[in-house]
Amino acid sequence: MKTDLITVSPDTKVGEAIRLLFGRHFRSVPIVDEDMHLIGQFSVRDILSLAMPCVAGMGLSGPMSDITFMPDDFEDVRRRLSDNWGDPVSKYALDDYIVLRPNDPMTHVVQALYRCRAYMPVVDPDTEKLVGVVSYWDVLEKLVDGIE
Amino acid sequence: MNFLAMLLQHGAPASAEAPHVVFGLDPLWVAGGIFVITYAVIMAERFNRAVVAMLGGGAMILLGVHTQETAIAGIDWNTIGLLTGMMIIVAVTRRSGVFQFLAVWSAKKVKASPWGILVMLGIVTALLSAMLDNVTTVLLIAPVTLLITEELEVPPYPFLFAEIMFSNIGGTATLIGDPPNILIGSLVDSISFNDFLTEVAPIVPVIIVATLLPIWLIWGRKLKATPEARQRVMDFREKEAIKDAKLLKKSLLVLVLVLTGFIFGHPAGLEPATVAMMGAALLLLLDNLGRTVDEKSENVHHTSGEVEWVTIFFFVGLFVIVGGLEQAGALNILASHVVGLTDGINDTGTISSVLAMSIMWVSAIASSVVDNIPFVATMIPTIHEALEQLAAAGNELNHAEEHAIWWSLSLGACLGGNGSLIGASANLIVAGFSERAGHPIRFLGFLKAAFPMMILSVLIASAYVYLRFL
Repeated sequence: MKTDLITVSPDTKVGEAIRLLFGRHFRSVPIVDEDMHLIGQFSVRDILSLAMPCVAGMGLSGPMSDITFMPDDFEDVRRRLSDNWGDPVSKYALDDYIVLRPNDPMTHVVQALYRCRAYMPVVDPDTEKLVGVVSYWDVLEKLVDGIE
Repeated sequence: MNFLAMLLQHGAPASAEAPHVVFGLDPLWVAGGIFVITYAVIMAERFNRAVVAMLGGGAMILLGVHTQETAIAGIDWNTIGLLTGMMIIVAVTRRSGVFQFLAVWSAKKVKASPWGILVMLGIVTALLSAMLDNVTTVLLIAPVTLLITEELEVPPYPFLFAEIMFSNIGGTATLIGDPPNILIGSLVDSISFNDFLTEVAPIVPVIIVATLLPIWLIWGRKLKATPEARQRVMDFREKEAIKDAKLLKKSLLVLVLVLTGFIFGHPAGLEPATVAMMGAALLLLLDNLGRTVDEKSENVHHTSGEVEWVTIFFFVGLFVIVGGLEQAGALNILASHVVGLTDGINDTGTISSVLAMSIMWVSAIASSVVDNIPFVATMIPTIHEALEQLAAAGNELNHAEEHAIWWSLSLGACLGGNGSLIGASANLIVAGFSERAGHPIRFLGFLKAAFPMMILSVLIASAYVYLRFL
């Protein structure tokens, strides 16, 4: 688990958050209030959804899962993304992510990482504050290390 | 007699026909109690309505109002078969992409002008709702609408509002358009698919135009889109929306066959459920030609999963509950209250006018706040009973007068769905989509515009029924 946390506040602009993700090659960044309570996550998936019409992101088997009839070119897609550049990041943050607890059993952590395939926030159950993030690299490196 | 009832029965054994209710309680009170509690819990919307209806149905058997045999005999399998068959046909057909094609095509036909698109999508919604159920229709049209309005940079609300209105109005036009009509068509012997087409459908275009007018005054005249935005919609390639041209042909073939069956089947004794289920089976057969056995099994399994089983189980539960009321004699009492409205009147023309108008308006107001399916499911046997009581008193209604009463129930219950956001399932589905897309529809805001428009449509329907049938 990483405890030297990089986070953003709910008011952070979408553009700034995207620059942060790109600059550090992160897949997601936690959004926290001033007391370190977790409010959501902003991830590369959110960036992709901002570049699509909003109904296109409503689930893979959703009603608009196929929009090949829209002939948008590169510039159209970029325009859509840039339209949201100055919005606060909290407007688009996902809230359907899994949260880990510091004492979660290892099998649960592995299964959760397998499901979500990204960084996972770790939250203290007593204070509900964000205490760290876990990536599958952290876990796998540790696991693989001990194998002869 | 059921086991629990047998264990708990006190007092003298009841006659063979009468229900054997636990503790020798009055079946009327037990059935009435189950009915009131079940309907109240359904209205509170805290639990899934299908679960509540099935528990209510189970209670009717457990407490001895019904035996399992009488409970099952009370289920109208024609309604269940028709609903399931049509749901399967739609589940397969939608995969062809034809509904998205239709929406995009109609938007381009009016050169992507916002008002033109609102009218076109409204008409497409009404037409599809007349052939499919309303929830399915709005599930197909609302997402494309959100996409088009986003590209046009216009607010989606007026478009979605119109689609809610037109899904309920369009559904009124045919026997298969809306669950109340399916129930009426199935439970009333003298009414066929064609009767709906010739006797109810003609007023629907008038109501559509009358509803478009206030929509234009409130929103339509202010809708503007830039030429660039309109061009973006004109650049849509609707043909790309067709995902499977072969499946489209098969689906259209089956839809035509099914509609033909509905229209011509009735005189030949072919009930709608047979037609719909045969159509569903044929489409599943055609859709699976050329697939491996494993793929076929997977495909049929997947399609069956898309049937809205919650609605089907809801219907089953309701039929058992309403059957219990009937069994206990409660509907007789309700019917005599209905007949009581006409006390002292001895000419059948006035009797049917009073009944038809009361039923139309009570249905409309009730359906704008509660689910119209349980309402209509209770009203049909009640009206049957009332007609019998009238006939027994020497006031037998003629064919047109009787139809006027059934059409009043249909028009009131279907159009009443437009009265509020909770008036029909389709309304809530659209609201849900809109909210997920960041444009929540407010209950009161909707009510302010929708309720007067619903009243206007019921006024038109009342005038139509009165002038044509009474």
